[in-house]
Amino acid sequence: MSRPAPRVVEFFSGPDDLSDQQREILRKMGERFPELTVDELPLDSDKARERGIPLAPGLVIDGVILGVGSVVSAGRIRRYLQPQQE
Amino acid sequence: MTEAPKRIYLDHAATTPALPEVVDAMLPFLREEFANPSSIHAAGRAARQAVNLARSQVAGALGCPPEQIVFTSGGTESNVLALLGAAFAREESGGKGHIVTSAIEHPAVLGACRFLESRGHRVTHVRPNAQVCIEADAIIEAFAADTFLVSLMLVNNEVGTIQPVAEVARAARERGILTHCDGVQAVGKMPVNVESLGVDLLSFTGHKFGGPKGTGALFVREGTELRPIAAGGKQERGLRGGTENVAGIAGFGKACELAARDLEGNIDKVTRLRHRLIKLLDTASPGRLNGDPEQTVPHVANVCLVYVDALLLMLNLSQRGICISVGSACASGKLEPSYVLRAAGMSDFASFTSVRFSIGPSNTEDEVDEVVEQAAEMSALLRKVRTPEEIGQCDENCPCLWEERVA
Repeated sequence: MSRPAPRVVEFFSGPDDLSDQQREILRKMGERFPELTVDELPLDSDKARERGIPLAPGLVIDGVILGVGSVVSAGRIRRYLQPQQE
Repeated sequence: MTEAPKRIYLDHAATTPALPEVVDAMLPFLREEFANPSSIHAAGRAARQAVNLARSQVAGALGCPPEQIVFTSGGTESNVLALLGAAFAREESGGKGHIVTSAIEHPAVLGACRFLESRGHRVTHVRPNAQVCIEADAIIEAFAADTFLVSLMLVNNEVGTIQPVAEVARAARERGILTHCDGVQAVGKMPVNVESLGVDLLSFTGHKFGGPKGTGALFVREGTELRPIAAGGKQERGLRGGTENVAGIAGFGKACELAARDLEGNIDKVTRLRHRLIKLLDTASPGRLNGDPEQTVPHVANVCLVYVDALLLMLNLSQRGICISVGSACASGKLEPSYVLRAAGMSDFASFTSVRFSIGPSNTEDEVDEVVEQAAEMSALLRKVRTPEEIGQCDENCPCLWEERVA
């Protein structure tokens, strides 16, 4: 059986509670979806500027911006990931 | 290396590209004709001639004599000069007084009003109706015995609704009250004539209709008492000291000339494109047009897209080379709802799901079709990953009625 294709998650974080919550959700999601590769980057990184992310936490999966300035729930991440796996 | 997507620009209410003829009109004054227009030698006189020509071109676009135009650095400075200049003149003769404005003005006007409040003036902010229109009667009812100034925008920058400036100006004149109009989103986009409007002061800028950034003007009707906010030089009749931005002014003048020449054709074209965009969007993605569909400029469409996070849509479209805007703004580390939609009674939910498309004469049908296709595709994706419970709901006072359509 082939392994699922890797999924790239860009997580733009700041020194705030929402970023902490998002980090924890991503950690748990990583246990369930081993194909997820989380790349945590600071909000003032070049990548954040390139994406136009103005607020933390920012979440981008496979190049699609799914969250800015608020926590993206596990349910939302799952809904985004699963239809593409079916 | 991946190639950047072709850019489609539908943000002409924010700014517009400088027209080639405008750039051509500017270049000589950045090169050989660089002199200071206050110098009396031949080179200085050539620069002065350019400023004079531009003043005539700008005045021609508004239907006023050239001597009633004061050049500034843009819409914000013109607005601030109008409000503070009128208030400073009032303070010299009659002390502090009352100003009437609307809750949906540009931050330049609202900021100037806050400053004047801090100096002891009183300010009344009249709220719009649910269609983001100010009712003239609401403004007139707010006039008090000591009202000396009313400031009302001609076109709302976020929604595109046209405000009843002429009616307000008529009533204000009968009471000896000055009328200032922020015409930034109107000039070059719809017919604007200061005589038909009856205003005493009108602000506008060149970069909204093909002119260069850093240019603007304030129409000051003869006899209007105004004081400078930056004293020091005698330029612009002492109302705006400092060496003139000759190249910018030359480009601004040319943009006004072209706008007047092409106004009718441009209105026809952007009206058609806007109708196409609204019609296609209506079919492709559940939504609702904000504002009054009748009382609106042809180039702006502000749309609530049901259960779509507008900021995410805007950022994702930007990655695909499409430029649109949202009314909500990032402030103090969080997203703030649009104060314009909020003033119209809309919920924060409506605000966070509203985007502004603003069309220019250089846009094409193909571009509009592409934007709608991409917006619909991205909206469908964003809806899938965000439930209504997560994004919020209209409250009972919200004028949005879209939930019936979603069901």
